[in-house]
Amino acid sequence: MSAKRREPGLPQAMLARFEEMGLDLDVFVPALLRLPSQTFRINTLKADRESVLDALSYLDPEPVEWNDLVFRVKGRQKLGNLVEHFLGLIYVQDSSSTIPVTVLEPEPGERILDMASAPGSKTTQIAAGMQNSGLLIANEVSVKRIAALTGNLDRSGVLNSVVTKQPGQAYGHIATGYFDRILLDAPCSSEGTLSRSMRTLEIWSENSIIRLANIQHALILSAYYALKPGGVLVYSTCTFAPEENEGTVTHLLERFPESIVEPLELKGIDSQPGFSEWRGEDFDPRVKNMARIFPHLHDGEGFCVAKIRKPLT
Amino acid sequence: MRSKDKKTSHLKRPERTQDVLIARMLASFEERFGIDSKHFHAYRLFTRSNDVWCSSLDAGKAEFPHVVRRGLRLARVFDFSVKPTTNAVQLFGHLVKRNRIDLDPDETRLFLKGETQKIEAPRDATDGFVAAFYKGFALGIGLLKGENLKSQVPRSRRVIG
Repeated sequence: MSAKRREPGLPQAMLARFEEMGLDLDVFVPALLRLPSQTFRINTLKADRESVLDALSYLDPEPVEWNDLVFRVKGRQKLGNLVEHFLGLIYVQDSSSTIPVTVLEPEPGERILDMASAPGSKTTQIAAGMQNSGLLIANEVSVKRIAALTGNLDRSGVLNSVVTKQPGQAYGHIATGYFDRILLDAPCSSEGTLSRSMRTLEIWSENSIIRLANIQHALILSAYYALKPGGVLVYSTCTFAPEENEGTVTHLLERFPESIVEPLELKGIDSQPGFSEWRGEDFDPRVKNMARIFPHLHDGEGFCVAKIRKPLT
Repeated sequence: MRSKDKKTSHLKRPERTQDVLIARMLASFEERFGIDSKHFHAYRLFTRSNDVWCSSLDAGKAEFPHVVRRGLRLARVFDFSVKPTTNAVQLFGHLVKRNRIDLDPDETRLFLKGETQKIEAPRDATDGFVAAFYKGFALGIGLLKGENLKSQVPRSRRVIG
């Protein structure tokens, strides 16, 4: 399919960019617009894995390979109406969205920052990994989104969270070298979530990508400052735009050349390495260790993840 | 003055300092539900207005600007009663020893809709707040009066479908 052929609903400029990324539009675009299989995550703050699986056995859930608490269900179910959802035993979460926290590997007793946390899917996943101990800062700058965040923290039974409302850029100054792990699931152009909502297109433009990339540059530097030596920063977006993925991580690597981009082993996920260049601009070669997740290769939304470690010295 | 106020106007209004509110909540949890207060030693309890909140120890003492909230709200302490939250009962429900009512699937559906229903309450359950359960999982708080159980599930959490 040529980018010049009009795909209903998708802007020509977006299709042209996808083609420039080397994506076969005939295969990629239908997958992008198709709803992925429904997935849920078991919330171990409320009950153990086996008792929840027992309660949900009628759904015949199938585990994913990379996280033994994440399951796919067949067909379309109203998972949000289940008693188990009301009880907070499960969290309905896209399979790709569970990857950043799987990569973050939160541990009990740690200090962890979720820099852009609403609506709380990854925050509650972190809290479960921490077994409700230690300190989890759930920061969200948008007051409108905080209600959804606190609702999900409550339903999931999270006790170790402190919800703060301030720009993520502030954390580099107020908590320098403080956190063991930081998740920066950055505000992005959300190209990977078009199957769920076409509202992304209302704000999508090449200019908005540049604007968001500039915000991400400030956020990733702030996150790095707030990290302890030896700490781990996971940077993720739900977009394909290289400016917002490899471009943002390259920005960090230029400023802190000593930082380490760790290779990712995502069992059962057909991920692609980060791009080495985009529109004539070379990225830092280490961004190849990032994982790009495309919906035509993985049954989930589009995502991009990087795991960055701050050296001990 | 409303009739309710007339009934209670002869009683002295209890103290409302943080320590008093927490002590009243812990005493009520123990007396009404058989939850030993020692289970809360591993957490930090604190108050905001008339509510008692609970957080991990680290979350309770962390100093950050622009804090919206910490942890989870456990209960609202009224002058003459203590009402646990749905979220608290769901999290600590496994500790409830008395005033618990098990619901069948149809009763659970009504409970999740926030409705009042007639139920066959266990003999040891007394009028007042009770913890409702489904398949061993704590659903939330109900208000038992005779054979009527009034769901206390907040509007924002009700499941209508």
